[in-house]
Amino acid sequence: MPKQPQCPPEDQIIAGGGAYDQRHYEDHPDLGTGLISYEHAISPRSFELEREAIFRRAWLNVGHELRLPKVGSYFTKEFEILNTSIIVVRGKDQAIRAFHNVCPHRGNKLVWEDHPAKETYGKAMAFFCKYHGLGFGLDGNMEVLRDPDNWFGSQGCDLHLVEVQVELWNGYIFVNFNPGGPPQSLREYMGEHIWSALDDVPVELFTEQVLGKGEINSNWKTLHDAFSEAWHGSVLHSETMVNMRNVVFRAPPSRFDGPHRTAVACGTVPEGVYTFDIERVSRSSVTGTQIPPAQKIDPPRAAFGSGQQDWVAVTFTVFPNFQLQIYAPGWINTYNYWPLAHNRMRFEINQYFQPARNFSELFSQKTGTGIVLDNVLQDLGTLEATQRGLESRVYEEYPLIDEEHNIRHFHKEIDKWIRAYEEGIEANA
Amino acid sequence: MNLPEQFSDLEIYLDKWDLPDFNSRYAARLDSSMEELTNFYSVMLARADDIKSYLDAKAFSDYQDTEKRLARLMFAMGVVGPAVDIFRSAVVPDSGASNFEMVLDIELS
Repeated sequence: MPKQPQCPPEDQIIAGGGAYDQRHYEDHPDLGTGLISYEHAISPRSFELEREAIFRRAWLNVGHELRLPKVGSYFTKEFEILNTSIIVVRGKDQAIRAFHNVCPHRGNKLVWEDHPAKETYGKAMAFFCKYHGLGFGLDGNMEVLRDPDNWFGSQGCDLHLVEVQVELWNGYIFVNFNPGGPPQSLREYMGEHIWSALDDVPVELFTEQVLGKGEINSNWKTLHDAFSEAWHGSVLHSETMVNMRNVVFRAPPSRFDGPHRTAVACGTVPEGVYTFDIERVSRSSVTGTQIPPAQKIDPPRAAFGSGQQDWVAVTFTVFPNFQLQIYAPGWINTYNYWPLAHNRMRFEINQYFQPARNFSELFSQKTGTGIVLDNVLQDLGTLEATQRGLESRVYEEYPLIDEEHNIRHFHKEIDKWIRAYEEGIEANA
Repeated sequence: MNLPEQFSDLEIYLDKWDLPDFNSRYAARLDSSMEELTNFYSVMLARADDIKSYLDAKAFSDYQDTEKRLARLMFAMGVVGPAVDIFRSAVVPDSGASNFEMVLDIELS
């Protein structure tokens, strides 16, 4: 039974952090304390291995069904590491399906606008190839065959798009590219703890969505690492966290369920102690809007157990590249990390809010988003510096401190999945 | 009349800061001198509580064009604020290697 995070006593809590005196490695002795190699962040061969061992096998989040409000709503999603693109669409039967975004007549990319490498979205009742005008229905079947007499036998009528496995978790859409189908359902893959983690969170009320993305010259895992420890916060973001400059952040030990993780930030971000005018006037900060939404969120039991009152955030990490955070007093943030090459990645951030009841609340949500993004830009910029440092190969291995136990867990799982692939066994058994 | 009457003195900011989305607001922030940002922000900050009270009294669906413009000025002020208050720079320090684009955002319709 994985151990549940335990917040320190209240008198030890510092805003956003905690003077936590328990050592993480004692809770997770299997992680060890040795040095870590970052070779898999700088070698093109690791990128090739991760393609097959991880991204062609794991369930991958591609966003939330809020992006597909109506029959025919669709978006495309690029998977550079798999050399493919998919169309995710809501069908006439309301079911969400995904198809490889490739026309089966001569291989043209089916749905794209302006530039074939760009993602797009919209609403359509059929997908027409820009090349020769063939039309495919929302179920992927041939619907409009141009010049039918010109085709040999049933070769034209038989064309259909190749479907990709889709499953939903609380509205979050996951796809799986495993050849021969996924060996586990999404629920089996996540495990019961993560699968039920949002059961007491009214996710259906978070209907307002913000989506942004950017690309940086760094390996995808280094951003995952940055967003899996808060130790850097008061240093890298010292301008924002000016009142925490002298705080050494210590998080309670995380809970590990297979390759997945539950991490918590305890304490409070009390209203009225904002450092800056912009925080005060917008009632928001680096942890986003501080205005409780129409339906206030209790600390999720899957992260804090019962009885916990003071909390800042919980992060559920679904291996390999999806993190969902719930921030007090009530908004949701997700990150996706997509490898483009061994030294380049795309980063996506989604934020979900309950509808603002008035202007002040909308202003708070939007200003909070901006403050978060300004800080994310600092994280992203620093990662290219990290990538350059790692690629110098000046050091063969690196020490991780006790606080960085989430990173240690992640890298152990990466190694495990690659080893399992090389040995032909199931990594997440 | 481009803004509600009691905020008509803010009309001088409409040309530059009445912008439709986060990307254009952020681009305008990067395109401005600190003097310009500080001026806009401090004037807006002084009026922000009044503006919030005024707009809070109405449902979004009842907003006139003048009120939508006023709201958008506030959203621009929200993007400029961190540059003036927190970073003291239009560009976030040490963010030279990063880029970011908003794809979906919550805006008044």
